Amino acid sequence: MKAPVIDRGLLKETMRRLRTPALTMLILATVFDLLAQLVSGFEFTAGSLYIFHPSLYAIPFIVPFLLTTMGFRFQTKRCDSDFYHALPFTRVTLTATVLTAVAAWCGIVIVGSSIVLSVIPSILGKLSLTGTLLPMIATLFASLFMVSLTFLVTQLCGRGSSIVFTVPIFLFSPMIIHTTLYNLIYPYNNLFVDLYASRQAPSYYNLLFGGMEHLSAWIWTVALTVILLLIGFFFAKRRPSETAGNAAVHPAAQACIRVLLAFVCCLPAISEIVMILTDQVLYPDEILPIILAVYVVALVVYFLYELITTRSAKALLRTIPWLGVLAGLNVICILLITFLAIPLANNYEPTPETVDSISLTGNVTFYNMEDEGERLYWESYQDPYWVYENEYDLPTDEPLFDRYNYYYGYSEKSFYDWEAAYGESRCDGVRVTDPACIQAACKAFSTAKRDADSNRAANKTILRKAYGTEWAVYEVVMEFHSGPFTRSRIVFLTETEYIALLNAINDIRPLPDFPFNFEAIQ
Amino acid sequence: MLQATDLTKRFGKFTALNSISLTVPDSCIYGLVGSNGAGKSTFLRTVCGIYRADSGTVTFDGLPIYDNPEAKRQFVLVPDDLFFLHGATPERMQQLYASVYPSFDSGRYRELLEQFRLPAQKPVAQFSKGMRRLTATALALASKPKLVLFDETMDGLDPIMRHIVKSIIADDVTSRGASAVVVSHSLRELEDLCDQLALLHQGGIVLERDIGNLKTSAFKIQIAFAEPFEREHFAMLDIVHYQQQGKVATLIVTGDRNETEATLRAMEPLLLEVLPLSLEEVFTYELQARNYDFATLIGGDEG
Repeated sequence: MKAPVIDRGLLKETMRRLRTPALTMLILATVFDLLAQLVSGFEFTAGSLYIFHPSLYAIPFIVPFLLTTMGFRFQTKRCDSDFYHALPFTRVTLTATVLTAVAAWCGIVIVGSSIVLSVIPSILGKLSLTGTLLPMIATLFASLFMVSLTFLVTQLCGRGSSIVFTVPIFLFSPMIIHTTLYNLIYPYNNLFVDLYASRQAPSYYNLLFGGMEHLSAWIWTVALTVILLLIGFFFAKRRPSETAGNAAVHPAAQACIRVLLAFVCCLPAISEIVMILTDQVLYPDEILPIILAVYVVALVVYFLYELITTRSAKALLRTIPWLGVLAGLNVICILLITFLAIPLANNYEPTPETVDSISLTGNVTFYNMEDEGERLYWESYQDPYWVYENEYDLPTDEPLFDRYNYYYGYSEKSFYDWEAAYGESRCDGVRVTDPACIQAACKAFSTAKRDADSNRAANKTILRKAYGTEWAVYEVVMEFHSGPFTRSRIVFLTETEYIALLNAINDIRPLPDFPFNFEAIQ
Repeated sequence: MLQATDLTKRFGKFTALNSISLTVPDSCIYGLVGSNGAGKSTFLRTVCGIYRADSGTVTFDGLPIYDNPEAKRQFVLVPDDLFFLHGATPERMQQLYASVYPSFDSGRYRELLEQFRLPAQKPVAQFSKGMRRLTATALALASKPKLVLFDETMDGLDPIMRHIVKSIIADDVTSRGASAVVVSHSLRELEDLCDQLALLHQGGIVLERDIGNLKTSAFKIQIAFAEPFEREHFAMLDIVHYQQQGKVATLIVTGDRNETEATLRAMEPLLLEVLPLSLEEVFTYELQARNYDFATLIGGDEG
């Protein structure tokens, strides 16, 4: 008879074992946020569940980590590990059952607290069903991701201290490395866009860091969760019980974690070295002591991690050969960024033949030209007067161009004002294949790139530049799609080009007719 | 029936089990004795599927054990390093065992708790070492497995409780047809309990014997003659060990006791005494014949 993947008796037992910590966290989160509601006198603005249950931001970080660690705690002590591995279950069943109990309790904490905390706001009409369900489900998915990550770490590490250090290392390292290295490339050219505009910020690929409104975040979170679970099960099946109590189940795993942590600590030094090599630093001699200090700190962290997790000074000697790997990673990273990534990004020039489609991200700035027909250098932008004055009024007889400007206009208010957010949501994902629009976009980018390159070659300060023979120029963040690849660049469009693009977008996803309910789109 | 064939287990460069082969038949109490680090606990853990063997096989009733719930359901381990849920009472532990072992008998468990004089509602963390061992023993026996494995279980028990536990194990084996493997570093501990016994040393089995046959087939003789004599006088006997001091000789002999006695009486000795052997003596002399020193192999205290 094939063994079940989840054993009911063991599931019941594990649920019982995790009951106290789970209920404690449920009560704490609920009481804390309920008190916050009480203190506010229940005077809420309408919004999503996050407003009434702010613990939802913290829950997916804390609850899954604690419950997963406690669920697999038996793998950190030899006698506990031996006991559980002697039980009449396959390792897959044992692992899957514990994970199911952990996930179930995470769900209970999230759903339970959300239901309790949404009662009063719902009665007062401040919270809709969508506003309740979407954040709840997003938090649940984010929690499952955190469960899978913590689970993987528990299969690689055999000691509580190792797990406590390694989970944040695994969670934040990819983001820190990506952000740091991206930010080495981004300032190199004023036509590059930042992480958020290029949709590479963490919120675009992980619900744990927000991004509920991005489909990509949902897809990536689910995919990562599944991948991490599969890798975790791979290690769980092979994990020797006798490694319980060791810092890691294998010396190579311990070394990789240690090197990763130290590499993250090296990133400031790597950044400075790259900037020196790419002539982005005026006085490199002054930077060298900083670089040295950063590497010393990285070394200290490297050895300290080993000392804390293994509690053995003798083990430090065995870590020395792996310093070579760390040094190698530094060198490779510096060389790749300096001589490959930056040149590749800088030399990218889209052509109508290579671009399949273009899209806007909703980031729009426009320049009001003082002298028509002349090229001017602007260091700032000017708000469209009709956005400022008609802040909350419905334009009733404006043409399409102005309606889009109303929604896309970049004002001094937060980028996430509902006007800009609405415009962004209408643009988001709309791919324009109109050849004329693509050609205009490619040409506009090439012109701006030529100027940016010549400025750099002439050692001039790079400024934003506006072109045009028309009275307004629009600076947009354009996405150029070629096959599976997308590159985001700043493009300056004339008014005519911009209107043509908006019309092409409207053909695909038209704006609703006026009047309409602004609140409904929040 | 538990069968291990060429079982090998390594931890890094250290070989803990070196090609061990043994069989534990049904309704048998099998003793495993050896010094510290001989591989006894490692053997038990490999048998239970906690460790994966590097080579060789271990099966129960023909079923491979590792990662096989069907086989693992047939036995329970009482380890030397005990596990209890945090803050658990014997009652709470019963819930755990009952949920994972379908054959767990709650009534039997309560009986054993009474017999061992253990309070069901008191946290196990407050028990003495002996009481914890008894709790683990009660849990194992109440699970009614076909094979129970005890790793240094008698350690920490007072003599009365040791006797009780041994009796219960023996009764269990008899009444249910179960088997038991009892590991200890003390031969005296196992002498009255086990049917078969194996001596483990440096990961390998040095000696394996059926105890019943062993003790009846070997015996000690003290003999003295008026005239001088030598070992060759007893050439007709199967001598395991011979020691002579003056006109008194001590022999360890295997064979038929009555026949041997009759043969020796025919020599008209001044003194003839036939004495039973302790298990320790049997092992000592058997191992000496193999050029092993029994004290080194067992080591530790014998108390």
